[in-house]
Order: sequence, then C-alpha cells, then structure tokens
Amino acid sequence: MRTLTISFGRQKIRFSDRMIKEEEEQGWWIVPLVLLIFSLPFVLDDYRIYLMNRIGVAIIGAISLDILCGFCGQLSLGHAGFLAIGAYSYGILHMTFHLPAPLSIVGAGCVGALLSLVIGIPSLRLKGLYLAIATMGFTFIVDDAIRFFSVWTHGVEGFRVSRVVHFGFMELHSGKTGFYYFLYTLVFAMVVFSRFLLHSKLGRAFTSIRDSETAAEVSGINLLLYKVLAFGISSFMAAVAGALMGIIIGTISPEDFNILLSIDFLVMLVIGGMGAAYGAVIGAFFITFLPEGITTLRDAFLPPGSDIAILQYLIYGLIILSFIVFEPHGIYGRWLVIKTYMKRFPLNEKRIGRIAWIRRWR
Amino acid sequence: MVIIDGIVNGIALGCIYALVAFGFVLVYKATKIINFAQGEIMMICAYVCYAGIKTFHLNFVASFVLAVVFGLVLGSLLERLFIRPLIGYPVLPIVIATIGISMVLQAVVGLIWTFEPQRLDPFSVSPYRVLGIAISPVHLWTIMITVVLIAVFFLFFRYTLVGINLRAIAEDLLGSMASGIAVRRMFNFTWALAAALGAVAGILLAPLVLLHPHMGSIGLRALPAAVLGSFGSIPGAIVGGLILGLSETIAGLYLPKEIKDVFPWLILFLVLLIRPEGIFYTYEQKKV
Repeated sequence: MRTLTISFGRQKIRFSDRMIKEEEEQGWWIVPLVLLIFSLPFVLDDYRIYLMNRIGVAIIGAISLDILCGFCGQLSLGHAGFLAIGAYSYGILHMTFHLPAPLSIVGAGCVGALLSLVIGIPSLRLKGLYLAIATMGFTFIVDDAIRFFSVWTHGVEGFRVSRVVHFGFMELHSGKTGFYYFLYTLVFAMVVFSRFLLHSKLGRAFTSIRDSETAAEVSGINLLLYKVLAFGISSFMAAVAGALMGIIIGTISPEDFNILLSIDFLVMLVIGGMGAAYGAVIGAFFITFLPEGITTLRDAFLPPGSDIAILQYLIYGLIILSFIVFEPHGIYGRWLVIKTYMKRFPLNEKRIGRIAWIRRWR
Repeated sequence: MVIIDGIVNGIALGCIYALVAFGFVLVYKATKIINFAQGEIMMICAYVCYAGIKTFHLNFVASFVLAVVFGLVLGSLLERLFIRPLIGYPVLPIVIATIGISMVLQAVVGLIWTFEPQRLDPFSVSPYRVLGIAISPVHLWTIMITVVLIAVFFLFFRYTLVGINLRAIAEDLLGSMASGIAVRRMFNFTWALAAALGAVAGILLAPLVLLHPHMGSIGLRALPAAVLGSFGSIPGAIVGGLILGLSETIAGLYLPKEIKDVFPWLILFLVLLIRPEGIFYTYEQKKV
C-alpha cells in the first residue's frame, strides 16, 4: 500500500490510500452525469447506442468483478464463465420455457449465484493465484459444457435470443432507446448498490478478508459465509450482465465468452482502479471504446484493408503495459492522488506531488 | 499397440508441458508471480529458430542456439522493462502486465511473419525403432532433450553459486537480501533462464503443431501441470507435466473429443479440491 506523507513544519502525518478512500463522498457531480447519459440518445445514432449498451453491460460485469476482486480480494479469471451461464440460462428460460423476460433475467442471475458455489466453496482452501488458475479452468469447462450440451444450447452454431423484451406493458427493443434507458437505470442501481455495499457491514467484512484472511477470521468473520456471499453477489450480477449481453447481441455462441473476456474484465479493473466501483466504470468505458478507437485510427493512418487483428493486439497490449507500469493503481487511484494534492494545496510537500514513476525507475 | 503409441505420445507431450511448467515455476519461485507470457515467449523463440533456418540459411543446431540466446536476451529485457518497476505492487497488476506482454509479442510476430501458419520441421520424418516400438524422431528428441535439461538444471541448482543463490531467494527473500545476494540481478537472470527454457520448449513443440502467433495458448494448457506440482517445486512441475500429457492423450483415445480438451482442467479441479496445495507441497510455518 502506498502512503503519502504530509508535513506540517516538523510534524509529519501519513495518509494511506485506504484513508483517502474512506473520505466522505461528494455526490454533486452525479446529477450532471445522469443528465448527460440520459440525454445521449438524442444525439447518437443506432450504432453508437448499441455501443453504449455494450458499455453498460461491461460496467455491470466490471462492477461485479470489482466486488469479488477489489472488495473481497478473490482473484477470478472465471468471469466469462458466469456471463456465459447467465446468457444461456436466460436464453433457455425465456426462449425454451417461455418465461416472462424479467423473471428470466432474475432467474439467470439465480442460476449464476447457485453455480458460483462450485468456485465459492473451494475458494476457502485456494488462495490468490491458485484461485485464479482454478477459475480459469472454470471458464474452459463452461465453454466446453456449452458445446457438449448442444441440444439445449445449440452449441457453436449460436443460440438466437429475442432482441425484444416485454416488461409487463412495455415492449423494449435492444436496438432502440427504451432499452438504453432501462439498461442505464440498472447500471446506476448497480453502482449505487456497490457503493452502499462497500460501506456496509458486508463490505467491511469483505475488505477485511482482502487485507488479511487470518486477521479477519480472528476478529470473528465467518470466512465461509462471507466468501460464498461475495461469490454469490458477484456471480448474480455477472449472470445478469450476461443475460443483458445476450439480449443486446441477439445471437450468443461460446466464442463470445472465452478467456479473453475474463481477461478484459480484469484489465478494466486494473486500468480503472480496483476496490472503489468508480474505477470499474472508468475501465469498462475505456476498454469497450478501445476497439472503436483503433478502427478509427486504422482508417485515418493506414491503407484500407490492412490487418486489424495485429494492430488491435499491439495497441491493446501496449496500453495495458504502459498503464500498469506508470500507474498500477489505475486511473481512479491517480485521481485520488491528484485530489488529495489539490485539497491540501498550500500545505503540500514535494513528496505528495512527486510523480511516482520517476522514483520507480531508478 | 494403440495404447503404447498413446503412451509414447503422452510422454512426449508431457515433456513439453513439463518444460513450460518448469518456466512458470522458475519465475514463480523467485518473484512470486505467474508469467502468463511464457507461452508467447515460447512462440516467438520458435519463430526466431524458423527465421534462422529460412531467412539466414543456418543449419538447425545454429538456429537452435540463436533462438535460445534470443530467449535469454528477451527474458532479461522484459524483466528490466516491465516487471522491475512493479516490484512491490500487488500481484494482480503484474499478472495483467504479463498478459499485456503476451499480446504485444503476438502482435510483433504477426507484424513480422503475418498470421499465416508456418511449418518448422527440422527432425526427420521416418520413425526410429526402439525395442520394437516405432517412435517418431520428434518425440524421441523431445524426451531426450527434456531429460538432459532436467539433469543440467538439477546440477545447476545443486552445485553452482548462482543456483544456490536462486534457491536462497525462493526460500527467504529478505534473508537473502541481507546476506548480500544481488536479488534484482537474480530476478533478471531467472526471467532470462525461464525464457530460454521456453525457447527450447517452443522449438520442440513447433513440429507437433504448426507455427502460429496463437500457438502460445499451449502455455495456458501447461498451467495445470505447474499447479498439480504445487507451483514452486521443480520435480513437481515435471511430474505434473507428465501426468497431464499422459492423461490427455489416453483420455483422447477413449473419451469423446469435447471432454479431451478440458480433461487437464477437470484433473486440476479434482486435485485442488482434495489437496489444494498440489501434490508436491512442503509445509512451512507462516507468520500473519
């Protein structure tokens, strides 16, 4: 954990990252943000709205991973598996059994939460990178299970999910603005929920498990209960994100949920900043827009028809590397440092403002 | 006879898995991170060997050496550029950084050699006969090189000063710092060593699958091998690799194709549930 030292004359006060995060929240900026996001459909065309929908799903997925990794400290590479479970159980519940859409979305979440026990209970014994590898195996196994049970899931040829969702009296098409409003209402609910979670009893238990499992257990936190809860909440949200993703795409196939998607979510967290939910939002926005940006760059600088895959790999990799090497705490972590610097402006020392990477490259 | 062929194939595949897992374990023991770019380092080194044969018209042994030297340089360079600035940070960013490295390496190979698959097949095709069993030269060379490498590394860790230093770092980082081991240089050396191992594994793997920028995904498949052998034990990695290779080929003979690919992961799940520390774990006391 990085610490900031602030001196008042001879006296020195040390601020740790965690103390800064615990500061009182100032919510004034939420109002313009909500207004901005809800007025976007008047400006954007259909394709951009589709993109914004993808970003919304990515935000829900990234926040759910943040609850697991950032709050509770359980490294998971199995998130794509939970998204796949959500998407396919929504498809089966809604298309095969003809359950109403809201019920199927919640049902998909419940299936995800139930299956998270498969990882949640072993996570008591698996630590850190071991858990990451086991969850990576979970992604592969889910991927193969989808191909294996092709009677239900239609295997590689793809499962067609209706893009029109009926909510009682409303009928929302995922390409139209109605669904956009529905999705972003959900996104805001998720962000608010995760912020409340962070400061609730549950969230404090999660963070103490993250900081030291032994210390948490000694202070009376039931590790089994809270880890299973973390996995359950996270997988519920991930499965809901998967169901929504299915509605947006229209046709789901196992390739949509490979290990790269899991890695994408982790990259979102690392680039945005872990453990505060806002970082996940920033990261999801950034990473989902990146392929668009790369395509635009290609069109601007390279002859048409040049290989996009190479460029995508190169830029994606370089961005990940440079972000991590220069700011391992992510965009939100850097913002916190800047905020503290501004707040204590007349009193700040060189040490606060000193850009960390100069020191790190000695 | 099918089963004997399967066993020989399995041992050869297991040897490759073991070499890759060995690379994972080397890096993990010293620096406590998993290098997800190991598979891609393998891939780029195999491409260098290919370039040595096709572009520079060297013979196979010379280009093999070229690839291994390239691996040494690449490993040390990657460590210096991307991993050293991150020492002391949480594990996750570093692991993600190695994923970033793997993407950049794939892109570099794609830029130079395009995404078309290439063929690197330096060994002769006609099978040798050993004790009445036909073994293809690739498999024989794979097994022999792996055995030699394991012996060399065993002696290296046992008797040379650098090997002893590396063991000391794996045992106790602070203690070895205090007793004057140049820890950073050793980290760098470990990465170089692991990358050179990756080079050998890549060249041995190339005849079995075609040379392709996505060939490195075999690195992910070797992860269960390292975990089976509890990620920190070198004999464990080798035994884990062999178990994995054998079970995969034998499962491939008798089970449907869909299950064959996830078989390593199923084994991994079972082992982790029963014995989460892996098979070869040595218990030690931990302070909170």
